Amino acid sequence: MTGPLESRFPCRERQINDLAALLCQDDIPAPPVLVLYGTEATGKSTIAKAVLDEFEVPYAYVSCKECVTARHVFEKAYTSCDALIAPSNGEDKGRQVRPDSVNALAGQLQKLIPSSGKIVLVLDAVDKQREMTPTMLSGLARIGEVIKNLTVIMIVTVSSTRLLNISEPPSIHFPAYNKEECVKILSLNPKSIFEVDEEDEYSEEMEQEDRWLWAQCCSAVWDIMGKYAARNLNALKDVVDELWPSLIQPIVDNEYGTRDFPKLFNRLKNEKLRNSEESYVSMQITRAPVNTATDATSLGPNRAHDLPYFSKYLLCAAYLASFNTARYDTRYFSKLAESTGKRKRVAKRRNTSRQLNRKHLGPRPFQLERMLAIFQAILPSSVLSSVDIGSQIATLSSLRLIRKVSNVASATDASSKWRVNVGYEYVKVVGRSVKFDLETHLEE
Amino acid sequence: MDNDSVLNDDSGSLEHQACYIYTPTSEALSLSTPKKRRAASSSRTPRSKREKIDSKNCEIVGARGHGFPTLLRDLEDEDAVNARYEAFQRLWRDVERRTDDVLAQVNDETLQSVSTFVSKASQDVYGEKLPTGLILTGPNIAAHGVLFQQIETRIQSVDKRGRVAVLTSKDSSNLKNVLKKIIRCITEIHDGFDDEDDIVEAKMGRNVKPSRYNYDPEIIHDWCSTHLDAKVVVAVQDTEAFDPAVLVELISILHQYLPKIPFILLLGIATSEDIFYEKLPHSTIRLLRGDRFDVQRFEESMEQVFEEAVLSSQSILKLGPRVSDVIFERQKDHTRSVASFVMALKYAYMSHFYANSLSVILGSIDSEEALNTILSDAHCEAIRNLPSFKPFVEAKISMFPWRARDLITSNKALKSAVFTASQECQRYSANLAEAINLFRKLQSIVSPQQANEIPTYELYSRILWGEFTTRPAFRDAMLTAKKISSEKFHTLLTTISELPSQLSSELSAARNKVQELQSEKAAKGSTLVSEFALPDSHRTTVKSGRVRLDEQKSKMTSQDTEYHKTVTSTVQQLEAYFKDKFKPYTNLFLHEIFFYDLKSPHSQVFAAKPRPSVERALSRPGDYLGCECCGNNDDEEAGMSGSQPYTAILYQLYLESPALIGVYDLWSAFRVVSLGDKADQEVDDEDEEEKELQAQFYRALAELRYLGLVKYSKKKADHLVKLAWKGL
Ligand SMILES: Nc1ncnc2c1ncn2[C@@H]1O[C@H](COP(=O)(O)OP(=O)(O)O)[C@@H](O)[C@H]1O
Ligand SMILES: [Mg+2]
Repeated sequence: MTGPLESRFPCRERQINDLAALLCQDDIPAPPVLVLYGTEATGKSTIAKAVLDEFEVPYAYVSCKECVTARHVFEKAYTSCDALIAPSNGEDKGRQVRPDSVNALAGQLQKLIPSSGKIVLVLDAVDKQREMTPTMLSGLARIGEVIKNLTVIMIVTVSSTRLLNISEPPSIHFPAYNKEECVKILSLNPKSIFEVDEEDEYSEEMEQEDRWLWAQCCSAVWDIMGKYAARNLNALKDVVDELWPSLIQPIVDNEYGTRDFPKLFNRLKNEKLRNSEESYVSMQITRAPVNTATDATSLGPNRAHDLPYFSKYLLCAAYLASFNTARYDTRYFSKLAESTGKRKRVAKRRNTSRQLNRKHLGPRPFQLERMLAIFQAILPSSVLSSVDIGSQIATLSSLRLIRKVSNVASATDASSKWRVNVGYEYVKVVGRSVKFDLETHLEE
Repeated sequence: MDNDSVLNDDSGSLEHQACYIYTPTSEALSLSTPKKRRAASSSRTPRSKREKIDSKNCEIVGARGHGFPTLLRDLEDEDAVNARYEAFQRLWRDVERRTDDVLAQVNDETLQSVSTFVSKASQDVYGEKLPTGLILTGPNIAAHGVLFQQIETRIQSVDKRGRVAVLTSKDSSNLKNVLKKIIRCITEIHDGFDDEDDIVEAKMGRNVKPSRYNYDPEIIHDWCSTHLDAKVVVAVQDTEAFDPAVLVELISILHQYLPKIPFILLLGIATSEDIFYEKLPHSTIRLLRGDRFDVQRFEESMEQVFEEAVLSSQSILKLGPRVSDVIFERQKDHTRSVASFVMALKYAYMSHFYANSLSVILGSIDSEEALNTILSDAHCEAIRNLPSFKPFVEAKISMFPWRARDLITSNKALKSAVFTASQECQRYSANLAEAINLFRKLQSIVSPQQANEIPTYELYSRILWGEFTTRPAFRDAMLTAKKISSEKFHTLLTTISELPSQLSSELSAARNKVQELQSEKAAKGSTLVSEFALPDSHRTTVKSGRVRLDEQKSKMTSQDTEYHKTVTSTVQQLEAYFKDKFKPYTNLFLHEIFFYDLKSPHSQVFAAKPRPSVERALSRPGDYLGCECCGNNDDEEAGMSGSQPYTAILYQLYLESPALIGVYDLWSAFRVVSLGDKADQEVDDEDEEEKELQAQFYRALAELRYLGLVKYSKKKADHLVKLAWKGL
């Protein structure tokens, strides 16, 4: 019976059989609630729907991720059941109903659902709904007990009896796929190497080559990426999809044969993953052009939008105020010549006495007045404070480069507390563009 | 802006007046209700400074319909005042129109590509990913609103690709509100796109819209079913300030509905892409896929606007070097915004026409008759007092002494000289613009590096300062022009001969010549070389260098020698041309009228310095009060004395205190300073004088608190915390 499904969804025989056994037997009544659990992209939603479709069980499906509020879930659950039972009539009557609690939903559904026949309500990702409270969850799980011929399928990430407050609900686990399983599933529909024209036959041979190379690629990507991010099916597929065109380019260009996988992949690694695997996995939204590195250098920093001169110094000052301790300020910012020598010595001693680098502890709040003092100290020539400086501070804070942390009424109140909100690398580059060396002023 | 509220804007008198005390008239008070003020600002009164503050002038404002004062010690005609006002209106409107046109074009390229992106984004291209455009807007926040407005209009009304909902961080309080706003923007009836809406509804027979929660994205789905090809664009104007948690949820919801609703996300990024990526979790970024769009950089837009608003021959009033240095320094250091440049330029126009009686000349430069009628005797006297009049006359003396005498004695002769001089000034500006243009082109070919470093607007002021042609930047450009390869030289000639200039015929002749020589040489299979392009002999030892040089020289053909001659003469011509056009503007008679170059109004008006002013007023009250008692102004820090206002005394004591101040200590010090010698005498608490002093002390303390300088310490009783340091 479940044969066709099992070939569409390999590695899920047990789950498919369990589902079919629990829900799709005409002679056995279905359980009031069924929990499907497993991590992301383990096929829960897809397989549940596919099984119900296959056995033509009438079901209403609500994706709770689509819902903004808990009431929204109730409303959707009701309307989709309504649409299932009375697809044609009663629009005006049905649509007005907006159950605003689990009890109301149960009551309305009881009125709606006829006492014969089997109906399934699938609540997908019900634990991901932000407004869903544990009581609501257990309430939803009990609707099936109130309405005899309704089964509620709850799809969640982790199953626990505490979550639903029901002892031992029937549940089916969808374990995460391992490498072999992932490769097997992704190999179901490989991409092809050559574009297939209408006329050309897509020969058996070509298909085999595609399959082989695709599978190789998937497993290689799993090996190098898996440990960072591509631990689930969807993520892995994204990365493979992204890399595929560049991988096969040499084959299309006739430089390599299809079986030269190691060479192909090495080449790809050098080209695309040059920086480090991790940075690649961080996944850009935009497809990075192949020769980003050369572009960036030839166009230079001139291409970037620039902050005004004093804004850059203000940002550096904010960074220093966040990462230096106030009591050492005189050492680092005193304009007296002898301070440089002192600074070095102090830095050395402190280095041994302290175990943790301040940089790793995150930025600490500072008073605006202290930042202004540091700002004046690090400027090559001092500037009279004016409205322009104030507005630049305001701009930096709307850009969230610095951030106000205290709730003092006025933003530029001298005693308000602030914090720098960007990392060392960014500020260093900003500082360098005005020839300010951040490092020498930073406590070690 | 009503007239009375700007009275203290009077920069002319700021110089000698210590401070200005504003006592509003009853009329001004009645005007200050918000409603009336708006009405007043919509009338055409320009924001202006006044030369004298008296009630008489206020009446004149009403009569004339503008606030321009009578200048020349009241000798100026009514007509001339009006003419000045009209000239201002006419000239500024013209500049404003042209700048607006440029600014409207500035974002065009970006808008175009965003609109194309929106129309192309579809399931086929991006699959299950949410199509996302990252718009790198740059840190000039003020411009973002305009940009997103333009995006909205372009996509929604001009190209009709769908609907746009623009979100700002103010909407980001929670997901529900964000969705409500999106739904409102998308489904509300706008003009243009909704033509068929009624028909569709009519066909369906009844209103099928079921009642839904007003944040339910299904509403958009319903809308989409009646607008089949329309895209639904959600644009976030300030992504950095948008609550990241809400943004993550929003992206997840949009992604969920993607199969039903063709959502497209546009994110405005003011800082950098990296920062953006850092703030969102990977799982969210994975849902997005798309493209990035760059907005034109400040430097480029500024350049375009400057060329149109200042350099163009249609702009009659030019900026002088001093004021343009002030303006562009502020741009570089503080604002980096084209809009603020336009404001500064407008202010230059305003203050020129407002305060300079001779600016009336600018209004009638086209006709000598008009000029003759508008210039009164008082005007003529003023012209004779211009600094540029003296050298002008002196230059005449040696050649035409009688002319020089005429200029001094006869107004008629002066007026005609004024007319000629104004023609001359305009010609100078036109030539200058032409030459700057040519020089920029030359520089961009010869040494692009330098051209990038010095934008046109900085070059402009350097040239006006004079002696630019002796500066290294200029000499380098000329030297390198000689040394570049023959192909490059050919391109150079082609480019610059196409520009309108006096030299264009010579330049194109030279180009033809080079071309001819080039093709002759190419027939022999080599390229043209001039002597300048030979490697430097200094590098190698003198002897071997000479030898090699001679060798190479002997290899040179007749074409090469010809070419060498052409290069030499062309560069010489160019040099002479630039030297002629880049003469300092101060040589011109009447340059005071055609070049606005007052620095102080700009430096004082645009960046108010409230904090230094307050600090100065409190630490040296004499500077503002100008009275005898508060210490002489010359000895700076000696400052504190009992005769000063109490708040000032307290402030100065405050400056000397540590971060935590005991109130009692402060009071004792305050008492000593205020009472002077009398402080030593024994007093009892009931003494009236003592009581009053105490009251004054608390009052002064309250004022310091009000100014945000101190607050009461929570840690230690009867202590104050110092909040502000002087000079920050
Ligand atoms: N065993 C499988 N065979 C084929 N495809 C699968 C299998 N498991 C998951 N998928 C695919 O993986 C993707 C993610 O599945 P999904 O049902 O959304 O996972 P979940 O609901 O557990 O997060 C879907 O495109 C689905 O078709
Ligand atoms: Mg799912």
